[in-house]
Parts: sequence; structure tokens; C-alpha cells
Amino acid sequence: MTRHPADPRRRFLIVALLAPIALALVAAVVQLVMLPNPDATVAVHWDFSGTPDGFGPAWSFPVLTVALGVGLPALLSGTALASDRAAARREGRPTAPTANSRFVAAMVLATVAFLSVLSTVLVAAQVTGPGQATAGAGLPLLAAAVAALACGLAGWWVQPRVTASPVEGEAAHALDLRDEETAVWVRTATMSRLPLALLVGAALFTVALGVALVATGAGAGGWITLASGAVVTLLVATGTAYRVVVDNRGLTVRAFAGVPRWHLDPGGIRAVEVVFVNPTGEFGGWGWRWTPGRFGVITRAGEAIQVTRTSGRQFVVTVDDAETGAAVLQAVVDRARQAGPRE
Amino acid sequence: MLIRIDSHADAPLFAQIAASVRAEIAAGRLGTGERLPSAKQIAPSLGVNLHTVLHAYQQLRDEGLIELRRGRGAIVTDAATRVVELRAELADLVARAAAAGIGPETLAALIADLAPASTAPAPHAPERPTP
Repeated sequence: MTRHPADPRRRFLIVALLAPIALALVAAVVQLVMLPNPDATVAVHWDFSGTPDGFGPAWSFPVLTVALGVGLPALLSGTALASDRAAARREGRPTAPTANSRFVAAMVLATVAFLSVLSTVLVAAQVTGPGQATAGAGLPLLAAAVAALACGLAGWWVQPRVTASPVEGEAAHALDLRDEETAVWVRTATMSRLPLALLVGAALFTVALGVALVATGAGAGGWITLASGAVVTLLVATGTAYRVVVDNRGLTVRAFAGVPRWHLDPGGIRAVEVVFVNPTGEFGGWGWRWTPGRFGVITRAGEAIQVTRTSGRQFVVTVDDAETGAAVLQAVVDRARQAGPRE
Repeated sequence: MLIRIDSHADAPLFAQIAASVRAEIAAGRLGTGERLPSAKQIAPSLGVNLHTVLHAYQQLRDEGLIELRRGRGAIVTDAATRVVELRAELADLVARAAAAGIGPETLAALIADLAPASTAPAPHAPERPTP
């Protein structure tokens, strides 16, 4: 029997859509079969020590399993496919899953496996266990994590390897900078308005909730909420807005909080290009993104400055008017090259 | 925002910086409500004194193009929108002048002559510049 090369798109749909939905449905059926009385009250929430602190009707387990098991794959595979398609259209090539669709698919399968196994084991423990509704959540969590890891790895290897070709953009035209001239280009790169508003809103809400809980004497819960709020605020301050500066010293990208900060010296730059970034397709999302040989500070889809270092590694930052920024950087790089190594 | 200065040019450095910002506003690349990078950030990038950048910002403030607020930095005023609107007409005028053999220097002198002595609108004069 001759083996045909796997169709990446079909494999993607199997891993990201069919397998997780089938898994969730099977889990829900198993749960329904195990539950003698779907209206019985069972533990649905556990505190940090693993003691149940929330109770609800037993049917909430299968319902949640199906809702998440169908909703997550549909949402995430739809997003990944749409972004692949948009990238393909822009680059004028046939649609094919990118390296990150492979990752997204494996993650979806792993997440659904985690949720399905966790809910099923929790139901099983409560139905068969002696303590019934007082069963803990420690062992089920472990089982679910193992299942998630196994499914995620399987989902990854089942899909064909996508060769990541080096991304080529439009080479920057150096700004006509005379020897006695100095230029600086400054631009703010932020996430688009809606996601930014949602993130800032989430940060404010969590902090406010934490303060309210602490003030009303809710104890540990309040402090945990407040700490989560602080973490979200920190993420917003370091991950949503950056100042991109190109000057004689090269390219500097600095988060509004001051850290983190990335700096590329003109002497260490081989090429400067303007590229069009597809966040989910090329980087697997937004934020600080590593892919093999490429690092990106990604706030949105669209134009970006791409710098290839002398080591071959690439640095990408999404920013408006990337063309001008790249032109200034190219001029600075050219100047550094003419001057030669200084030491 | 692109700022370029020429150390060999006749115009003082602060005027060159102000001209760069003005050009960005006129081209619509810097719009109403946008914040200019702080003078502290720009000065080392250009290799100039902090006060040179502040001087440039003060000139732009006096022209009514930006507002300087303590703690909030330099913000582009709504005059930017009007400048962009006017720019198209000016381009038309420059083209007509060129067709008539009148160079940009002569045209600029003519405009300066037509305007009253103190043209700079200073609605934000009482405010002090940010350090």
C-alpha cells in the first residue's frame, strides 16, 4: 500500500474539531450513564485544599462537558482557519495550515481532553466513592493532566510538519540621510481598541473586586482576587503598549511600564524589512512570541518592522507606518556599515 | 513621528525639530489628541540638549499646535485638523505660484507680509511647559 502524504488541512480538522467534539460527547454520555439521578446535588467546586465548597445539580457536568467540548474547538479552529485563509489570500498562495495552526489544534485537543477526563472522573468518584459528594479533586486533576498531555502530544504528531519558510518582506528603502543629519523615529504600538478596552476593564474589575472583598472581610478569597488583579494589571502594563524608537543607536522597543525592553544595535543588523504579520498564523497569538528563529512583539495584525540579525535570527514588531521606521533603521544600519566596526 | 536635524544647516536645531513636528502634523501623520514623545526621550536620540527639544515644543505650543501639560506631556491640539485641511489649499497655491514663476521663499515672504504682526494664537499661554 502506498502512503499518500497527509493532507495538513484534513489532519488539522480531525485534531482540532472532530476528535475533541467526539471526546466530549463520549465523556458526556459516560457521565449520563453513570449518574443514577441527574438532578442529585453533587460537588461542583473545590477550594485549594481540595475540599468541596460548591454544590450543584449533577447534570451540570455533562452539560458543561458538551458546551465546552463543542464550543472551544468550533471557536478556535474557526479562528485559526480564518487567519490561515487571510494570510494565504494576502500572499497569493493556496490555503494551507501554518505551523501555529498545528499548535492550536493540539492545544484544543489537549484542553478538551483535560476537561472531559476531569469532569468524567469527578462524576465517577462521586457516584462510586464512599463519601459521595465530599470526594476531593486532587487525583482527578492529575488524571486529567496526564490525559491532556497525551492527547496534546498525539494531536501534534498526527499532523504533518509544516516547514516554516523564512518570512520575506519588502526590503526597506533607506531614508536619504546625509552624513551631518540625525534622525529619530518614534511611534507607539498598541493593541487595537476593543481588546485593549477589554483587558484594561478586566484588570480594573479584578482589582476593584479584590479591594471590595478585602474591605468586606472576605479573607483569603479577597487577597487572592487582589493578587490576580495585580498580575492582570502588570500584564496589561507590560504587554499592551510599546514605544518603538529608531535612532542612531538602532531599534528600541520598550513597554509602557519601562520593562521589558528590547534593543538591537545597528552593527548587529543584517536586513530590515516591512512585513505583514498574521498573529495567530505566524506567531500563535499576540504578545511576546517566540517561533523557531523568530521573535515578535505582536500587538495586532498588519504591518510590522522585521529585522534580521547577523546571526540570522529575526525580530518583528508590529507598528503603524512601519515603512518610515524601517527606512530610518536601514539608513542607520547603512551608516554603521560604512563606518565599519568601531573598536 | 520622524524628526530629523542637520547640524550643518543654518536654522537653529530647535527650529528644525519644530519644523519636523509641524511637517508630521501637516502630513496628517500626527493627529489631534496624539501625544508627542517626551523631550527627555527625544534629546538623547538626537544627541541634543534637553532644553533644545523643550524650546522646540514651546515654539509649537506658542503656535497653538500642541498643548504642554504638567504630567501629561505634549498633546497635539485640534489645530492639527485645521492645518491638514488648509494644506491642500496651500499646495494648490504653491503650484500656482510656481507656474507664475514665484519661488517658495517669495511666497512665504508674501504670506508673512499679509499676516498681522502677532499671528501666533496663544490660548494656552498661562500654562507652563512640562519639564
